[in-house]
Amino acid sequence: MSNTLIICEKPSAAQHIAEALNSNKEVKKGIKYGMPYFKITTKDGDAIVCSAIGHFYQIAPKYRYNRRNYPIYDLAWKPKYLVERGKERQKKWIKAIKEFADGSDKFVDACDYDVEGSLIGYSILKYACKNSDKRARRMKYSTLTKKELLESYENSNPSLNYSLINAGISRHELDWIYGINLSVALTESVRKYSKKYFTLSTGRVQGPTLRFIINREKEILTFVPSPYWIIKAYAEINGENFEVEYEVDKLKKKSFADEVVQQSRGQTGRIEKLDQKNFHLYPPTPFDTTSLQIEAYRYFRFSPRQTLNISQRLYLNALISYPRTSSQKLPSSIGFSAILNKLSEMLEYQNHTKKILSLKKLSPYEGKKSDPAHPAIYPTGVIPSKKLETKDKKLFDLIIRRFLATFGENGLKQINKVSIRVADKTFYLRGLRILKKGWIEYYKPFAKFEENLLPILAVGENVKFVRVKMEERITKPPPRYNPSSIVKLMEGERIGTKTTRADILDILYRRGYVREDRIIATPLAFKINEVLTKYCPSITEVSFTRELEDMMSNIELGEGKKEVVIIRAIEKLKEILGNLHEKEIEIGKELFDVIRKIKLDNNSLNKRCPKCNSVLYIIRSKKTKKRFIGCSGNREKKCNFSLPLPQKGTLKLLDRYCKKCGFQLIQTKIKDKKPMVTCSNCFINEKRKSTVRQTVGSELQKVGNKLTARNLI
Amino acid sequence: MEKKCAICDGLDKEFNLCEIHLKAYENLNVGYEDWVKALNNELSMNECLNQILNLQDTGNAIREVATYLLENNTSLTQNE
Repeated sequence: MSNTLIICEKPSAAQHIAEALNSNKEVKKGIKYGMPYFKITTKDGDAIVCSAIGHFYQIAPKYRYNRRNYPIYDLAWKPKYLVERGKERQKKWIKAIKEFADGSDKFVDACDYDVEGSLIGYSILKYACKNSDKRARRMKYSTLTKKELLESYENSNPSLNYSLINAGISRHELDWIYGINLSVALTESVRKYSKKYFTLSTGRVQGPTLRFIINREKEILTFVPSPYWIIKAYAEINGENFEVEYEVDKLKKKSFADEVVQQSRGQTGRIEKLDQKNFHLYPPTPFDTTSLQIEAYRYFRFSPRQTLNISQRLYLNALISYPRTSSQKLPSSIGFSAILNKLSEMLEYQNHTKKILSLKKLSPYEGKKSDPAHPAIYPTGVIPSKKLETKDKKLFDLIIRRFLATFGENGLKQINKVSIRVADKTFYLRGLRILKKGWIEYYKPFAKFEENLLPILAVGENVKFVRVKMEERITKPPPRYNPSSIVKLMEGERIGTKTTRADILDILYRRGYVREDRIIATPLAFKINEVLTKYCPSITEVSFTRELEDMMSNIELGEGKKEVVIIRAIEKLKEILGNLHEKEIEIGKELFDVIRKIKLDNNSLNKRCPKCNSVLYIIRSKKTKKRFIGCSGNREKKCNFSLPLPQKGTLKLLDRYCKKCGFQLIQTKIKDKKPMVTCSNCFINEKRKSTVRQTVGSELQKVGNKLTARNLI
Repeated sequence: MEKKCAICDGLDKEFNLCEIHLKAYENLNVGYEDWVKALNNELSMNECLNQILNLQDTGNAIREVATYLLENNTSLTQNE
C-alpha cells in the first residue's frame, strides 16, 4: 500500500478534507511537533493530511546583506523562520512535514486554487518535500463540502498549475524588489540626513493609490463653494399637493431664480405632455470579491479587510464558496437545485427558495467578469452548525440573498413624467411605480425602490401652483474616498489584486499616510507623494504598475514568462533608484522636516506655558532619556518651565482637561493594564504640597522629639 | 536660497505661493467671478472672501489664502 501526503493551506481546511476523503470509520487526529495532522484511508491507500499556516517560505536576499546597501536584486526563496522573527512554530511544522514526506510516495497539493494557494503548496512540496512538486497531483475545489472535495480528489490534476505558481513567484519577487528597495531608499535618506530612523514606505501599488488620495485631498483643500438656487414648487392636483421640479435643477443666478418664482407663484399651469416609460430592472450579478467588499461596506460599514476576513471564516466553515475570486459567473455544475433545496431548511429563505425552485429553468443572471480558478461567491447550502457571530451572520445573509436574487426574474418599473407649462416655464411632475418586483423581493432589505404614485392625469388639464419658493444652496466639494470606494477605484484602474488591495490600504493607515474612515491624507502623505513625483514620477503613475499587472496576468494565463517581467521591472527600478540615490540628502531633509513637524504637532499640548506663553510639548531628555513636558521657549526666552510625565507606557494627549486646574490631560497606556489618565500639573502641585507637609511634619517631629527628650530628663 | 510660500513653509512656485496655495488662489479668482455672476455684482471682493470663510465646505487652503488676502488687504486680481 502506498502512502499519500496531502498538503492543505490551513488546519481547518485540512480537517474538512480529511473528513471528506476518509473511507475508514473515523479520522485519526494526531499532533507532530505542534502541527495537527489527520491519518485517513482513501481509495489509494493510507494518507496523511497536513497543513500550512500561510506562507512557510518567502522571498529574501540571497546573501547576508546590510539594509543600508540597497538596491538588492539577488533573491532566493528561504524558510520564513530564517527571515522573520517569531516564526519558531513554522520551523517545527516544516520539520513535521519533512518527516511525513520521507515516508510518502505520493503527494497531493490541496491548497486554495489561486495564485497564493498554489505558491504555498508548491514551495512546501519543493523545499520541504525534496522537489516533490514535479510528481504531485493538484486538487481543485471552490467549496469545502464533502461532495466537491471527494470529486476534486478523484479527478485531481496530474500536475501542479505552473502558470499560477509562476504568476505568484513573479508577484512576490516584484513586490519585494519594488517595495523593499524603494522603502529602504526613503527610510535611508531620512536616516542619512537626520541620523534618526523612521519607517517609510512606498511600492508599485502603494504609490499610485496614495496619489489618487492626494489628488482628491487637493481638490477638497482648494474647493471654493459657490451659491446656486433650486426651485421648490408644489402643485395641487385633485386636492392633493405634489412636489414638482423646475426644468433646470440648479440655477446659477439668483435673479433668474427670482424670475421663475415670480412668474409661477399662484399661477395655474397646464399639462402639456404625459410621458410614460417602462424600464427593466435587471438582477444583480453574483458577488466577486470586490463587489462583495463594496456591498458589505455600503450596508454594514465593514472595511474591505474585515469583509475578506469574515468571508474567509465562512468559507472555512464550508458555508460559502471560495471568496477570493474575480468571477461574476455561476456554472450549473455547482448544483443550483441542491443548494436551493438545502437553503430551504432555513426558515427566512424558505418562501424565496420555493418560488425559485418552481421556475422552469434555473439560470442565474451573470456578470461579464470571469476567473479561471473559481466561480463567483455563492452559499454552499450547508447550514451553520452553531450560532454565527453577528457580523458573520450579516455577511452570510447578504451572500445568500444575493445568490437568490440572481435567479429572480427582471423587475419592471414605470417612470411617469408630466410636463406642466406655466408662463414660459416648464415644470415636471415625476412618478415611479414598481410594476413587477421580480428579484427585488429576494434581495430585500438590500434592494430598495421608493414608489411615488401619481393620480390619473390628462393633457390640457389645469394645475394650480400653490407654493413656489427658491432655496439657496451651496456647492459641495467632491467626496472623500472611503475604504470601499478606493478599492473600487483600484480595481477600475487595474492595480493590485483582489486580495492585495485591502492590504495596501491597511499599510497606508499603518504608515500614518492616511487617517479616518472618510480617508484624509496626512501632511506626511503629501510630502511622500511630492518627493516621489519630483524625483521618480513613474512610481506614482498608474501606467507602469498597470503594465506590470497585465504582464503578470498573462503569466497567470500561461501566456507570458516571469523572467521577462522581472527583467523589465528591474530595468525600470534601476532608473528610479538612480534618481533617488543621487538626491538622497535633499530628499532626506524634505521628509525629515515634515516628520519633525508632525512629531512636534502630535506632541504639542493645547495649553500654553504659564510662565512665557510659549508652546508646551513632550520632550525626551538626551541626557537622562526621561520624558517630561517642556517649554518651547527654553532657548529663546530661557524659560525653564517643566512638568513630570509617567516614564512607562505609551502617552496620548487627550482632548480633555483637568476639572481641578484646567490643564490638558494625558493618557498612559501600559500593555495589559487599564489606561491611566493623569494631570501633570496637579501631580506636581500635590507633590509640592506633600513636600511642604513632609518638611513641616519633620520639623514638628524634631521639636516634639526635643520636648519628649526634655520631659524625659 | 529658495523662496518660501507667503502662507506656509512650502516652496514658492509663483506669486510667492506654493503649489497648493497657488491653486487655491486661482480657484478663488474663478470662485469670485462665480459669486459675482450669481449675485449680480452685488458683492465686493472682501465681502465674498468673508462669505467664503464662513462656509463649512470651504477648502482649508482657500481659507488660508482668503485670510491672507484679507489681512494684507491684497486684491485677488492683482499679481504680486
